[in-house]
Amino acid sequence: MAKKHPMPIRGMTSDGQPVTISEVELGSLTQLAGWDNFDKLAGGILRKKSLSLPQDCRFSFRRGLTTVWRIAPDRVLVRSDTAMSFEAVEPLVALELSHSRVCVRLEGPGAASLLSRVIAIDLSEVGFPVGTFAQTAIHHVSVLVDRFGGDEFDVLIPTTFGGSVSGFLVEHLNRAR
Amino acid sequence: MTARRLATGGRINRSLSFTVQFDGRPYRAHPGDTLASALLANGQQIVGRSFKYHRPRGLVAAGVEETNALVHLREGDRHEPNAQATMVEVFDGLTSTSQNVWPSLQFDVGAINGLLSRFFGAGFYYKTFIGPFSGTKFWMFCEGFIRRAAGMGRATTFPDPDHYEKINAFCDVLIVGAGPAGIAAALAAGRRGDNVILVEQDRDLGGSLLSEPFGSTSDGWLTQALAELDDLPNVRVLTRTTAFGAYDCEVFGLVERVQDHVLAPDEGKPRQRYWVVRTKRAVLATGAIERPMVFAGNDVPGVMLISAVRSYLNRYAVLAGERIVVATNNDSAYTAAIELANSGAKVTICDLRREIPAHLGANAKNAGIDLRPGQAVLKVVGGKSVKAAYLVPVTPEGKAMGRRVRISCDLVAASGGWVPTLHLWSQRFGKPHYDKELDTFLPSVEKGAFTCVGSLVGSPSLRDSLLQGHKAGGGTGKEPALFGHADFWGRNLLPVAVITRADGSTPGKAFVDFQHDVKLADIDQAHLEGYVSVEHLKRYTTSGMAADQGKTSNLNALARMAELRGLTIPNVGTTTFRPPYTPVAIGAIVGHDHGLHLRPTRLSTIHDWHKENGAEMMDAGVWLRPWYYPVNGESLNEAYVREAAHVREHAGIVDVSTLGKIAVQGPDAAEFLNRVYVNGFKTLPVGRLRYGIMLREDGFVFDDGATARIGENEFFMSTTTANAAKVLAWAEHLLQTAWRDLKVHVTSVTDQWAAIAIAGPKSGRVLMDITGADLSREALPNNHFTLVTIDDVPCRLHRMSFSGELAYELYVPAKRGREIWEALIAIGVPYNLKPYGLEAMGALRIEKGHIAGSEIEGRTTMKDLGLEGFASSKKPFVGSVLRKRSLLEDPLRPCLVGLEIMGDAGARAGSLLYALNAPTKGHGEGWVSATTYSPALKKNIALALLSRGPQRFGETIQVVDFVGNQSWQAKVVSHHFFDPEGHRQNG
Repeated sequence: MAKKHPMPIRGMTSDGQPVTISEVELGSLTQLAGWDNFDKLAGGILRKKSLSLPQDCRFSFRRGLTTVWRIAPDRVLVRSDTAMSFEAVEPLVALELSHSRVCVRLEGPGAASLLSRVIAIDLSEVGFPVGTFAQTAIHHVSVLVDRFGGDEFDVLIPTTFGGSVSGFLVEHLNRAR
Repeated sequence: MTARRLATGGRINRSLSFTVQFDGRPYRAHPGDTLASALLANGQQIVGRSFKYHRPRGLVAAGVEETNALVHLREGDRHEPNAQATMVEVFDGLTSTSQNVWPSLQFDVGAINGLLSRFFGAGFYYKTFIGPFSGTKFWMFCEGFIRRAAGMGRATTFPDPDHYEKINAFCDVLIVGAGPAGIAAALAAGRRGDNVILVEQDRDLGGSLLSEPFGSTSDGWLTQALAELDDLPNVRVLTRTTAFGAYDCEVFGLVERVQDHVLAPDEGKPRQRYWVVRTKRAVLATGAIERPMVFAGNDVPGVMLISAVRSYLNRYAVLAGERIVVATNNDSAYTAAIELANSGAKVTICDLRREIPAHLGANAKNAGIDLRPGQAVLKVVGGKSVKAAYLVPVTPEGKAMGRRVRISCDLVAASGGWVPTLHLWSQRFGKPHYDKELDTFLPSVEKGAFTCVGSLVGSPSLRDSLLQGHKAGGGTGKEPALFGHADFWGRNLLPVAVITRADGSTPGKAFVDFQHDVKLADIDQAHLEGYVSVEHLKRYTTSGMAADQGKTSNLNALARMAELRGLTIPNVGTTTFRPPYTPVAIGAIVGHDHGLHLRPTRLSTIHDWHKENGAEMMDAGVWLRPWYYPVNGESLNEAYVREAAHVREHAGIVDVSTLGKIAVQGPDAAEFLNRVYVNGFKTLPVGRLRYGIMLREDGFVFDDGATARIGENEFFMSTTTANAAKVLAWAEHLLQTAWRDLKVHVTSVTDQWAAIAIAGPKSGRVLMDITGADLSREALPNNHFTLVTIDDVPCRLHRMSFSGELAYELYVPAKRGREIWEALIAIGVPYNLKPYGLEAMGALRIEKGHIAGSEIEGRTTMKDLGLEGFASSKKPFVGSVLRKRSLLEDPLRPCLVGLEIMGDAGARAGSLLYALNAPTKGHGEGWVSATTYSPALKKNIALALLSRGPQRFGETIQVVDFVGNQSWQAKVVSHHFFDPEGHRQNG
């Protein structure tokens, strides 16, 4: 069983770069999914919320505190600070997932370096620029990694794996305090 | 050998010195030394004993190809076996010991094996257990001794105190090897802005240039080049790093020895770092390794590679001998020979070639060297050190043809040519091609995303190596201008490295593979016995199979086999190389994935409450679940029996958040469920839930669970904990392949919902109190659900039972899980609501006769489990065809029954079942799947799969646990032990 670490944790990677790991409020998370004409239909629904449908599964759409991730050709995840109402979305389907993920934030010059120790993704600013996200795995657990700043990443972790994956990240830090 | 440190020269820091220890003796060393150079500088000749014959062995090489100087490093929990002394950087406090010796390096009892060498020859392992003692216990008696003698070095049994880490990196160009060609490549690539990683296994960059005399013109170039590299932010230089593996898609494995050069890692530093590098292209500048010569006594301490002798001289200022015989078949030995002579050694060169380039001959004579063309070393004389060498005129094939002459010497430095270090290339592309002129295998210069440069491709000069590197790096900037000596080994090479008598024999043991003690005679033996293919040769003789993976032995073994078979080397073939190039510590591969993080752990959002309230936890897959809640020091058995009895009498609460939960959404959701479940779901009304069974395509039961219809086009499916991920993946697979016509999405909501089961006769009252809802039988019958609110948290309450009691499952938004759990506990006090764990839950379900993972284990059908009635005959479903196979319809198949165990002790799951008077042999007539003490029945019961089970109710059978060597008698009964009519759950 993973050791429980009180957040936030400040420490350094083994190459001496500082990182802060903290758990932040996820807010509201909703999945929109569909079938035929998904782009048109989802785009229309999102437009009503002043949002846009990302064209690919790599770059997010961000407006204020709301982020839209296209997690599959026919699915998007919408994260917002307050609950979004997606009741009348037929023929699409909406699914409330706010409790299904916790959000761990990595900040500091060593954030990318720390993540490179746990995921096989090029996290250079060219390879993974601000606004990019990836669905990958940390320690065998499916996560969504979102770069929202040069040295800032949010990692969405399945709630029940939150402690374990956070602990695994902390394990890669030295001089944590 | 009378090695000594010279007063000047070398690339060591003479201003500092410290003491290192080898076998308890102190040796003076300087920063910049390796353990090998420190030992040599202090005159330590023997550095190890050989693997089989325990022959005294000295240093052969100065780098990664060293075969003899394997030592134990450090002590206690940092003890490490098989460290190459040539790769160990000295540090203050370094302790090392020899390995494979007893009682001491100087006097090793194991050396008696040398006298028995005829019994330890090729095929020893294969022949050991046959022959005159076959069928007796003699070899089994010997096994212990053989096992004790096998292996190299002794590992520590203490936990490793250091930590290691893994890291991923990406680049445009990975350059392996920071010799002149690699540095030139890095400069050119770096100048044009490529993202470059330059990898060097040494602590210093420079490769072969570091073996040039200190102050050479190459030092100036190197200094300038390194300064420029340092200024290029896009070039990452990894020293003390070995690229050990090249894999598909340009993925490389590297291991960086971050803190191996200090006594103990600095705080916060990993000892080693395992890099996984993905590159767009790779430049291999891995150089070449000198090839030893094979002659009698070529393993006596004091027989070395001439390149190593040169490295020790110029890099470490150690003159390895005073009276030196240089044996060569090529030009490259001359520079070193002259430098040795200029350093004060008396040097004799015996060159197999009769024609020697005039300038080399002249230079040698000017240096006072005794040059003997057309001669070779036939035999080295000496035991623990070289005393003399017999030189003899030889034919161009390396056969002695005249009178041998004894020359007194203390060092024999040999060069049989060079072997490019093509391991990484071969790992990726397989077999290299043979170059006749260079008498060696070479990689392709360009293949795929790989470019090979420098000595790796037999570059004829330093200038050529630099230009190749420059070009491979992109050709950016000024071409490197540096000229070295012109003694290219391949220009006038005589392709002979094995020296024998005229009849092909050697006057003593001549070794091909030093590390595994494979002699020339072993190659001959393998040939005699028909093991002539290179793959058989390798395995039969074990040549090339030691920790050095044949870096110095492969080509000589091949050459001998080629000669014996009358073939050319390429016709004999070559083995391919596999990772790792050098041994890699398991710790580096493991990184942080050990201990608490061996695997991820999954915790329900109520987990902390369980721990705070004294629950004993147990692993359930990756989940940690409350096993039982001991009171006043109860044992497991006491606790679970109390908990289960409490549920039957009052009310119990259990965390079932681990259940798999899947949202099934879309206009075709009902049709989808109709296809995956054996029973019908199309007509399930909104607000109802239904137990369903899934089969695999082959007709066996896959999973079960209850699915609720949340809306017209939305269902909430639950699965077993164990199969949650499998069911989701399977459903997604079907939707993306077989049923693309269905408009359905499946999404895991296991983490969205915490799940709490409340069971027992008072459970309804607890829930009515907390929800204020009407939960009467009329308002909420079994298999119905309703939406409720608890403390303003919207929840969904399913009425369903796993225990056989009146029971409910409450689905709560996960992050509010603990809060609602605590509210239930609080409001349940008047009803004596108590938590219960997994063990009690199991006892309750066994009493009720409900199946779980131990019955749905991949071998059982619906019929076996008494569930055939669930299958719809009106619709197809996954598995509906193959479940009707005659084999699965066999009436003799084991079917689910209950067992009442006779006596006071319970049976063990996995026990086999036999008829009462039948012999307990074979697999029996069935097995016990789950067992418990039933507090309701006050007896030990079990669920079991028994052949013709339902027809045998009332029969007494034998239950045998072969693992625990126990047996019981049991009465076969219905598996519905408790309340078979379901009055309690439906009431």
